Amino acid sequence: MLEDKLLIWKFNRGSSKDAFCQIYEKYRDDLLRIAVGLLNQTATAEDVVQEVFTDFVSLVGDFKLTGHLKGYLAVCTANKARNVIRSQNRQRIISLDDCEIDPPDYKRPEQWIISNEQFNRLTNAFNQLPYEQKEAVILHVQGDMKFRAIAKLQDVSIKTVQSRYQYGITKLRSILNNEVQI
Amino acid sequence: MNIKRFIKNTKIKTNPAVNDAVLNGLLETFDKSKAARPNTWRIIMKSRITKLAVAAVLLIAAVLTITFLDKSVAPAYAIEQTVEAMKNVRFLHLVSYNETGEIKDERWIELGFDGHQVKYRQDTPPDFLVIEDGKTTAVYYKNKRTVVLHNKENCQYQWIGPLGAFLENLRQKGKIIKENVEYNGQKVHLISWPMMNVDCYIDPATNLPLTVGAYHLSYEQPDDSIFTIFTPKDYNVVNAASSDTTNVPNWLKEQKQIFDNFELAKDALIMGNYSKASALFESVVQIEVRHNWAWFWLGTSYYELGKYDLAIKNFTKAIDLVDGVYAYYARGLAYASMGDKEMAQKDFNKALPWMIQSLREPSAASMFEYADNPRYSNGNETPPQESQIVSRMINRLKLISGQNFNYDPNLSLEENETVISAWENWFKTTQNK
Repeated sequence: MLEDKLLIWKFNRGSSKDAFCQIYEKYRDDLLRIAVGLLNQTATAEDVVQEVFTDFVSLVGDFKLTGHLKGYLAVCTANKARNVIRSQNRQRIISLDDCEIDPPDYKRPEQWIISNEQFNRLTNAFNQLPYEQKEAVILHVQGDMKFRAIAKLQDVSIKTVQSRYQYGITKLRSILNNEVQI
Repeated sequence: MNIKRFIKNTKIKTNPAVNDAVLNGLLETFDKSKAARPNTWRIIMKSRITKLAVAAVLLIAAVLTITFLDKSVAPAYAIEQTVEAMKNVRFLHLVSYNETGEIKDERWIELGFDGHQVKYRQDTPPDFLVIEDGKTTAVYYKNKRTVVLHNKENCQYQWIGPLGAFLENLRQKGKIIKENVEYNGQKVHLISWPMMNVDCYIDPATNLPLTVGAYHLSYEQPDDSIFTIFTPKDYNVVNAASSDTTNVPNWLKEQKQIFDNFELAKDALIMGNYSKASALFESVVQIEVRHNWAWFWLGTSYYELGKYDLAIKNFTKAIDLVDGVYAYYARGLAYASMGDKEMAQKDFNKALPWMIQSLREPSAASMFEYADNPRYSNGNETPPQESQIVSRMINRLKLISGQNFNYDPNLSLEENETVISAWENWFKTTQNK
């Protein structure tokens, strides 16, 4: 927390480029894990995280942080993930002249994320949860966000978030039951 | 091991070469951001009631730092001249008309020497009247035969919300379409104002806009009575600024709830809770009948729920209030979803010129972005980068045209030049059909 405060201070002032590089290195993997967990599409998740950092960069000089930096970046990632899902839903509905809608051409020549078996297993398990439950679990466990902050993001009560979290954990437990001892 | 630990311990690996490539790209953006966004700009723009002051400051700055695009062909008229002329404007008189030539909306604005909006009057027949006399904002409710007085600091009406940003856009991105064209029997200049999605006619004698979209502008000083708050016969007066609320009627108390509902509705829309969003937006438009964004997002909520007839109805309401091209695009999508290709095409034709223009001038897509994401209005989310705006506009174009010219969002606009040209050619071809 204190380290983040110092990084933000530097980010807004003299050695802002170095500070940004440190923030990027520190939180890049966390945000990628959150984005992949929420979206289950590696290429789109990579784009979302890149967008989050791009937006963050544009705030140099007057970025003000009231909570945790990780929480802030996690919320930005969750918001962008929702926008992507919403946009994809919209694209599925519309088809003028019965045209085929091509998915956005987001692929990079090289993949940013290198898959591994354990990570894929977890991502597949997440994908079987309803979105709100998945979001509550991911933001609480991977984003280190408090239930209060998640409740604000999801526009529901803290109790609802806690239930979503509990349901999510229970379902993950049953999915991963044979592999993970609780 | 527990499940929480399992999640935490599941690490991700990334490709170091891509890590470096992404970081280098971000650092390039970083350099541009730092150069382009001085701190004072953002601080000023965060203030809700200094927008016009910003406009004035920007206009002054414009004279000092003009860097215009096409210096090689120096036209007789330059947009800087309009920006310069607007510095001296103290009164704005805006009027729009309906199809039968009757006044649809009339506004008077008095600007202070520092560019602040000092006084304001909006008269939108048949039943909307607001007068702001510099200290107090009076809102007239004809159906309730009541005038409600607010402290100006708490209740201020404006023509365009972020006027400073719009004027800066005119200065930087405005383009001369044609000089010395005929308009109402006089020679004028036609310019394009991207962020507003409107064309404007400029009076060559004064260099001031004669029209901004559907609004006709003039700059005369009005009679004092224009900005004088009055109480019509048989009207009740409610002082909303008073701490004593015993005199405040219930309908007015409920109205305060409406503003909260509007914010909740936007949140619900963003969250994808469309049933909740539609119910909340419905409650807003029942009271705030002139709230074009509430009508628009109500349409969006119904659209997302698959209730396309209701979506069309509400998008039409929004269009009636503000002739926004983004609303034509949205209504076109709703018509298309209902299988009415003819009506869809008609609406898309209204939006397409600006959609195509935004590929080279992304600020022309600002309203599309806002329409798609109400969060921007709250300042809760950083505005998107130009490359993101273009990428999203390409997706919209693909959606309505069925065309795909293989735009690559990872390349710069310059590198995507061939694709952008292909879209422009496609547009020209469809226009000529």
